[in-house]
Amino acid sequence: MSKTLIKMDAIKKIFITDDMETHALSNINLTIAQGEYVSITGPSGCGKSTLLSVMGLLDSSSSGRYLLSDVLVSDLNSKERSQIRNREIGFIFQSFNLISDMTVRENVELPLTYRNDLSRQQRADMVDSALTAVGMQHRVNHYPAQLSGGQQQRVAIARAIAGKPSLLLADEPTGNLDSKNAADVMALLDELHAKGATICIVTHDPRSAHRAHRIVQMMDGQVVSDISSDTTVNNHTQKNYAAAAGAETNSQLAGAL
Amino acid sequence: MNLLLDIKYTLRILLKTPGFSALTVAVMTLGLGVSIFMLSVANAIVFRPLDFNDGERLMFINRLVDNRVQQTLLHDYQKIKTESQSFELLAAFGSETAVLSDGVKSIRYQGIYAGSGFFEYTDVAPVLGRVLADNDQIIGNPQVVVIGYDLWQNYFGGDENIIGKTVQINRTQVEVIGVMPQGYLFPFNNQIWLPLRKDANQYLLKDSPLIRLLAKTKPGVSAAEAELELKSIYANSSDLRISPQQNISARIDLYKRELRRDNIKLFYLMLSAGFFVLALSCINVGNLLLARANMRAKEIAIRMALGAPRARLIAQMLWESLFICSAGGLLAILFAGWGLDATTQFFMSRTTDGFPFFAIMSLRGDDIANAILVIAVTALVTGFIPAWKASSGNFNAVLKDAAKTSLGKTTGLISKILVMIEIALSCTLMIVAGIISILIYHAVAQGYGINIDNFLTARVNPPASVYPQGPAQTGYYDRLLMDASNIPGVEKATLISHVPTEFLPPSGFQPEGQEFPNFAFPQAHLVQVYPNTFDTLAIPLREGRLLDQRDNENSPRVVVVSDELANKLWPGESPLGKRIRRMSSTQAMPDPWMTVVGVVPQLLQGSLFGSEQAPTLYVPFAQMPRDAMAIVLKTRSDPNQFQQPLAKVLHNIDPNLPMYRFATLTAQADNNRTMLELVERIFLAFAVCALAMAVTGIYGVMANHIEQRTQELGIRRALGSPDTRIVLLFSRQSAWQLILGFVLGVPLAYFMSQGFINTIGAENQLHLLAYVLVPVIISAAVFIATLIPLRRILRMEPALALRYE
Repeated sequence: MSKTLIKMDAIKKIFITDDMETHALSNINLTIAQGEYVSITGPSGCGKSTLLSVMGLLDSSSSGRYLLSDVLVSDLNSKERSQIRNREIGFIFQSFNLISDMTVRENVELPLTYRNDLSRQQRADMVDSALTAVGMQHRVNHYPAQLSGGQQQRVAIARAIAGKPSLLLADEPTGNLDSKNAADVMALLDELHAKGATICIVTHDPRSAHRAHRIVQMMDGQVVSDISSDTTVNNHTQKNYAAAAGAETNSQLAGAL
Repeated sequence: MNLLLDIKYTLRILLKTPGFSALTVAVMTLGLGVSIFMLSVANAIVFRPLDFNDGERLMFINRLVDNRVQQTLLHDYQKIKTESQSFELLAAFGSETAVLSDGVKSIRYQGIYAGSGFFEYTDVAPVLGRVLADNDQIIGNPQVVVIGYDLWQNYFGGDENIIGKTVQINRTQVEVIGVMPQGYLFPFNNQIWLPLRKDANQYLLKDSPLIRLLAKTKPGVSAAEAELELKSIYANSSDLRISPQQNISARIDLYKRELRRDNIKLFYLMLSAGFFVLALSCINVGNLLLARANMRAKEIAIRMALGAPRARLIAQMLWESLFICSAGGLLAILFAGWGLDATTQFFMSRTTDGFPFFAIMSLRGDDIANAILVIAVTALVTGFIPAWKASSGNFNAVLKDAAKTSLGKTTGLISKILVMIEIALSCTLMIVAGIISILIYHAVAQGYGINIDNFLTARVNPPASVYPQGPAQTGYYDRLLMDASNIPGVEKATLISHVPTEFLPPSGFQPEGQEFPNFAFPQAHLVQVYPNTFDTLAIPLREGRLLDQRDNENSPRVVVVSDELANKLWPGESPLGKRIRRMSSTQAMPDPWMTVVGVVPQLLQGSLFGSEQAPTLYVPFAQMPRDAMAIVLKTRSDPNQFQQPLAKVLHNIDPNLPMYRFATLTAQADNNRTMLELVERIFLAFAVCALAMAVTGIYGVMANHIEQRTQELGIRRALGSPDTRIVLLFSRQSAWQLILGFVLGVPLAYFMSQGFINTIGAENQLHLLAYVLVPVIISAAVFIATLIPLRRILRMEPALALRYE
């Protein structure tokens, strides 16, 4: 049995504005094992990106326990969280989030420069290796603006994997790409997973979602289904989700009309 | 290594935005240049210890009588030397005219009569021979002199065998025993050092010679500790009180600080103003960096998502301000160096008495060290708030593009606060500059009370040994006056102890029938005049009669007073027939009574302002003779042309008696207001900088703020809001910032300017105009800075504004 990488118990995230409380995540219980490929799906505003943010320590939960590699990370301070983000997590964003004033090499190297345990040569080797893995080693001195969207996302993936993190988090990684580039990026993620990476992807796209071996469906800040590739339902009922999904479809239709 | 990456990236960003970089560097150059310049000026003139070994222990002691500074007495020196434990060395010196003569040419120098320990105080070895030794202080031993390098070169042609030769000083043969190195001019600008040869035991206290007192503290003894001991010595020394009522004490400080004590407040004021300009620069650049950090919010968020520690992010962003401030600082140091040279040249071109060697202004090692410290602090101050703010936003929200304003809102608030502080600082600086300019302009415009054009003056000091007071002296002066009057082109000539443009310390006077406890007598300038002085200087008569030939040594003692003195001593009464006499706590017996026979208008004597300003009284030279007098020529053409003929007249009468301080009265007047003009120019420059920075800073912030609200303005206009409402909306915000800025700035200006007003005196309330004009100017500037960017948005079609990003 694979080792547990992520364990979330009763995670809640509440956004408080002037006179309103919004429960973005309600009582999330989720476990992800090392080497798993999980997709998180659901309608807009269901909390999937918030869950990914909490998972990636980009945001903190309002309550609950979150263990990453058996470390209780929900109570860590800002500096410790930065360190874990830097070493344990690789991010892939929808809008690539490359720094426009840095070359491809510098962008990929950036997270490595925040570590003090790597020599310049080690960093260079790791960058070369990551860029080779995504097929971008021939554009190392280009700036992001000189690359296509697909190439930029490849660079972003290289940056995410350069530090050899234990977890890759991707938030709508194909959202800004055409279908060909989207397929290429998803193939790249498949390849990374095949090599042992633990991947968690948030997506609207059913085709992308189904490439994962486990699909977590969310609705109104809750996990409403958690289906592995053999369609076994782990938690909750599909019925609820189906009803909710149907409601959203109806609502979209009504809006279109 | 990571540091290099950060530096490389920062440089790349700065080079990518040359306009931004040039603007911020220029603003910092201005602010840093002004403050480094002011710091260096203050250091050179007041704060830096003397440039001799153990300079930080080289002190100057002043005697305080009834809390007023008075020159120390030889008895003070003896007492302190006997009783004090604080000093490693005490040295007394006096200053008197020393006329160097070889029978053909005579040059008048200000000689220093140096007591034992004088040369040990500065610890500088001579280039030839030796300095004065204790043996030289013994009366009866051969007369000796140490000369300066320039004197040696210019008068003696650099004669290598000068040591042991005799020269004539004040008509006495003196042996040259040493030549001091080039640049050694201690204590002021001196070239001749003779032994003091005075022993307090030879004098009664009332006749004790006036001296200057140098002290070198023991290592580890501070000036404050030494002063405490001195106060204790004086408190227990009734034998140092000339009259029992005297309250005597002493004050000690570093040599230059004590000498310039009266100007210290002014220098603090100028330093504060300089740092205000620097603060304005910091605010401007800080605001620009803040706006830039806001624009870089996404980049910073990405870095944080990738695990950048906050401290590292702040450090990385601080590089930007460090580069800007370093580049600005480097230019500022060059600018300050140039400014210091220009200021020294300005002083040198205006001074008629020479410029003190210790106040020469140039950029020194400690100035550069100060500059580096100021640059480092400025970089931190300028960059920290933007860096801290940028790294404290909700980076997750920024990454999602959902809450662009989460950083923007608080950034906007910080910007508004910074603008308010900017208004306050500009307001303070401009009001203070306005007040100072108005007061100085008024003081200069008022002039000396007479027309000083076409007058040439020079001083002459016939030695009492050759021309004792009486017929010999009178004969000399009468002949000088006659011969000078006969110079072709000279309209009139006269003799006066001190011309109106010449500084003269006031003395105490007692009007008959009025008592003043603790010798707190009214102060007035005593001026000895010749019978034709009033006519030559065109001083009109207000009441009674002027002094004339009948007022001789045998006639009753008379005096002409200025109207100001008359009003002060006998308000509402005619002063004619009243009697007055000179009184001083250093006099054992008061002077005889003098009867007031006339009243003339008040003229200024020397400084245009200050504690030494006092009313004047004129006495006949014949009734109160003195050695040194000034000859004054009223010429028909440029008075400078008469310098040679006048020198020739004097030389013909006595070739061994030189004239000194040749100057036109207008040149002396220029010299007197040199410091004032410098202060005025500096403050005006500060005010212009303040206004420019306030306007550009406010414009930058408002333009940025308005641009960020372009969409909102589009919505408002789409919903039918008239442009006037929108203008009103922003004007209201600017008005609040202005009001809060003025609430802070105006009282601060009042507080800061009080010291200067007290120093210069404010006879009218004209300077209060600054409190009205400055807020009006700043308000106009701020509204213009608001309207220009707003107008651009209002010219945009609402549809375009709605789509604006």
